[in-house]
Amino acid sequence: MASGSSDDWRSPTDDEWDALEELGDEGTWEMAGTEVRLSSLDKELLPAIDERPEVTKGDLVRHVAGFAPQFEHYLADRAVNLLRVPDGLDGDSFWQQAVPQGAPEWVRRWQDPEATGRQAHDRVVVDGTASLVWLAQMAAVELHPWTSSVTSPDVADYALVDIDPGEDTTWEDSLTLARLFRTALAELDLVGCPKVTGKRGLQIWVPAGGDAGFDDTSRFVEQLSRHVGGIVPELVSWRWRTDERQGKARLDYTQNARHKTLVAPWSVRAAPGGPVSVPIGWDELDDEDLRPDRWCVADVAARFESAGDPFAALVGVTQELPDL
Amino acid sequence: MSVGTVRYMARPSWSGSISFGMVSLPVAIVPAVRRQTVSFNQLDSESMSRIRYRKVADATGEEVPTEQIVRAADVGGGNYVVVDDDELDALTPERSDELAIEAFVPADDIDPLAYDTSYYVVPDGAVKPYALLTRALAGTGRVGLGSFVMRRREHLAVVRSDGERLLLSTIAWPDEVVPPADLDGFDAVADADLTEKELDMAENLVEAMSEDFDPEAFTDEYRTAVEELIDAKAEGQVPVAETASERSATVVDLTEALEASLADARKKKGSRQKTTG
Repeated sequence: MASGSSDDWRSPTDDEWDALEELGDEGTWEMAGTEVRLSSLDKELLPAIDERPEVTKGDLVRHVAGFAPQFEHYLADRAVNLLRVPDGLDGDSFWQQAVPQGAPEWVRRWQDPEATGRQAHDRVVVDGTASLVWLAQMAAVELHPWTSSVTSPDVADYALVDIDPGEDTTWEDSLTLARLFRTALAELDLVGCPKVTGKRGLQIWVPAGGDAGFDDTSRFVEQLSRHVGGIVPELVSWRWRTDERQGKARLDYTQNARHKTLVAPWSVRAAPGGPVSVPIGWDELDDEDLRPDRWCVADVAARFESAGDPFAALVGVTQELPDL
Repeated sequence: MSVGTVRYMARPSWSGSISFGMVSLPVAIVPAVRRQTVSFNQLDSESMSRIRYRKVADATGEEVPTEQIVRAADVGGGNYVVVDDDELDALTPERSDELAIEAFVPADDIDPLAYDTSYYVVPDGAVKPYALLTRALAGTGRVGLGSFVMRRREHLAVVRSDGERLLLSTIAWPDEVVPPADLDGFDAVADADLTEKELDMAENLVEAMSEDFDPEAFTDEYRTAVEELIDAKAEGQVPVAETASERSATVVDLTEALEASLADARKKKGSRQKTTG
């Protein structure tokens, strides 16, 4: 890692967990040597649904602190886009790219030298557990990191496949598409891993890295998606506009661009019950109980305990993406 | 072709200055496109001698020396009006070495069919005003519009910036563009009956075939073939036509793997439905 020690990304010690509980609704929490000012921890950010309890700001803080070692893989040294819901799902939620006003001095910032027009110039770079906790305090529920690091912003570390279901796309259809990508990657001898988005879709991350640029990753994902889509044309539309897609799924390769982002593995989604985007093993595509929003804030820790992080196998892998 | 140590600097087609407001840029313009057609000579097939043209007077059949040839416009009825060079020069005296930009207009307002010849605008003296216009114009989506006189003709021209240099294109005068109404056949297009489905299919096809323009992917295949034919003949060989390249093995394998995988999944699903149903 380019900055900070790996200690910065550790999860809280037992003493630190206890200190957080003792704060109650607000106070200053010392986490890994950094003091983070927390308030309204009992406030509901995401409402309950069915059997899933509501998610308070305190729940979000505990989630990001607990998953900090996993977040390190996907967030360290990267600019991050934030979806904030300061007044819950009924209030105004908004996307934020720039460093929020009043951000503590210790929050790492990065100036995007190529920002133009309405793009943010000063961006937040999460550099440890304290930063994650502070973002939770800002009610930044969703974390969408860049695909490139701030040290080499034009090198795409992953080629991203986004299976974006349409109105008429069944879960079984999404799985069919994901399985075709599994077959294609195996045929091409490439490593990649799926994750459920926590909303309706599935994504597949394929490590690129080395000297791959966004031209390479978008070209590869477009070619791969067209091969897959060509096999099941009845399931896929290439239209950009949702209302012109005739309810079909879209294989969105356009996210492979410098400023475009997908939700981070283990990030909470801004939806009732706090569903989480969870990496899965390829064999889980054949699990009849799999759903895109199968796990939520309340039970994702148990899932991690039993299944670990299948995405960890992708970290640091570089592979050449062939021309198809 | 001059590459390597010799920088390409063709004879300028025009030199003078481009002005906008109070700023004036001394420049030369050089053709930006070099036509690469193979040129042939004409020979007498018996003597294999080059064919030459002579300028002869219709009435006498005698060859006329260049200095004795004058310009004349046909005014009908077998009558001509002779116009000499001085008279032409007098029509455009002070403007012959200046292109004054009259306005910066949106580039999109100019129909591509009006574009004629493109030139690089090369600084020919002070560089600063050149750099100034290049930077100021870049990314505005606008082009400078003006007219100038080159080779005894007034040309309408646009000056644009690619961020590093200026480019000039002559464009057709508006009254030179043929109005589509002059041509038969377009009226029926507007009245054609199209169903939603047909339109949808065609639009899908356009989307499926959409890609970025890669200039390197295109070569003049006819010219290349002609050059190869000439080279081969010069060496006394009979040229052989090339066969088309095939789809790569990777792509064929990938498609087969995907089809097999889908067939397999459908079979499994079918048997599961049977057992549950």
